This record gives sequence, structure tokens and C-alpha cells, in this order.
Amino acid sequence: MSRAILITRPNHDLITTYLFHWSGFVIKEAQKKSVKILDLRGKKANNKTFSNYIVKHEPLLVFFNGHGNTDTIMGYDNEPLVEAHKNERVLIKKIVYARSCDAASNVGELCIKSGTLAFIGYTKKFAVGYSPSKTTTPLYDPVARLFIEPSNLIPISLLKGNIVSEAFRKSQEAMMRNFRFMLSTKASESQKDAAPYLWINRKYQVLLGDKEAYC
Amino acid sequence: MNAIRKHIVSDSDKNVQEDIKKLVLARIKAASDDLNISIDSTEYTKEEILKSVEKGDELGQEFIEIQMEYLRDMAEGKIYQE
Repeated sequence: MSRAILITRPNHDLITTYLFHWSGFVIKEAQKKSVKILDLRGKKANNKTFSNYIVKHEPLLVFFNGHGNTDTIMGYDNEPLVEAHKNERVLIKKIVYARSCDAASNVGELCIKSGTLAFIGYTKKFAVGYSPSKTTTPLYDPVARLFIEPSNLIPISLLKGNIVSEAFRKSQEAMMRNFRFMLSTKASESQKDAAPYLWINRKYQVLLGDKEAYC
Repeated sequence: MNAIRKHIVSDSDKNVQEDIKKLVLARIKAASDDLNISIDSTEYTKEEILKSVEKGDELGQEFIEIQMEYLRDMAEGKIYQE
């Protein structure tokens, strides 16, 4: 297994475009740590390229940005990349973070049973609140930041050498800090109103598999 | 007697569901116009969320569940248990 990170960054709709840009911070961290980066950006986040890269480069860390459901983690244009009872074994011996709806509730469990080291994901839908007045500048969106920054902490923490449980804990704590901010008088109206969705994201973010695994 | 009880309970459930819907509608109506939510591969404006909650469709139910779970957790003090 190589010390590489494979990142899928489709950008076929608004929210994947948001995640595309925000994942740039994870790429910067990987560059700082001299970790090989397999950046499946845009249309490259397709099944054929994903499968080829996984086999050829054997990345230890796989970071999915894209939509999902209980049985599927998707790439560009919602093409399935990992499907339950079909190819979850492609993630054997890897640490996975899937920033996708519902993936931890079934496909994540199957991955662990098939030999994935650890899987962090969500057992319900992953919501992102955002400001419609900021969609042309996603990195300056003050609402989306509160959702995506704590989520970025998972791969960033893993790239820094922390074990999976530590990465998970840091993300949970960051979400709680943001949540408390959103309930405070310092938050804007839109930040306040987005609080319930961040609460649910945090509640249903789970860590499966080996808590001590690390990159 | 059991049939009457069932009827009363069922009406009472409907009233509770209606109250929940009104509560969630009120919360979303009062929310900022500068907030959209992306969930399940689609983005929703405030108006779209309100329409779905009003209609009671699958998406509307989803938003009701999110809001109610949040409110219950807050009422139970779960924020302080962390």
C-alpha cells in the first residue's frame, strides 16, 4: 500500500463544485506532507479511471466527494464508483472517508466486512447549507464554511499522521464548535438557520472499522 | 369501545402531525432568504422546502424529520451532553 491519497472531485452540479473547491485545502495539506496525490477531478472521477488508479497506485487513503446512497458512492454525473455487493473489495486495506449521503449505512459496512481498514461516512443524508448569494465564490461562503471545514479535518488530520479515531474526534469537535457559534449572537441569520442541518450531519457521522488505523 | 379508542387515537395522531407540520413551516418561513440547503444531490431554496413541507411529499417529510429531531435533541439537552 502506498502513502498516497486518492481524491474524487466531481464538479457536475453546484454542491459538488463547492466540495471540489474546498477539497483544495486537503490537497494543499497532502502537498505539504509530500504525499502522492491522485486527484480525480471533474470528469476524471469516473468508474474506469477510479478503478485503474486504485489498482495501479494502491493509495492507502481514499477521499470521496460526490453523491451517494446506502448502496453507492458516486462520481462525476453520479456514475457509481463503489457499489454494494459489486466492487466494495476495491477498498480493501484502505482508509476511506466518503463525504456522501448515506454511504456508511450499508456500503460502508460491507467495505469493512470485505477488508477496508476504516470507513468514515454518514448513515443519513449529508446536508450542506449555503448562501445563494455566494455561489460564484464557494470558498467565501460563510454558511458552507461551517459545514465543510470540519469535514475537511478528517482527511487533513489523517494526512498529518493521526489515527482514524483522532481524525473523527477532531471533526466532531469542530462541528460542535461551529454549531455553538451558529446558536450565538455572533452568527448571521442564515448561519443560525442552518444549525439543524449541521447538527444532523454531526449526529450521523460514523467511524467504522479499526479506530487505530492510520496513514 | 376499542374501535372508538382507535378512532380517537388516530385523530389525535393526525392532529399532532398537523401541529408538527405547522411548527416546521413556521420555522422555515422565519428562516433567512439567503440560505439554501443541498441534500441528496439537489439544492433547495426556502420556497421549495416550504412547498414540499406543505405538500407532505418525501422531501417535505425529510425536512420535517430533520427539524423535529433537532428540536427534540435540543429539548433533551443533548448539546450539553457532548
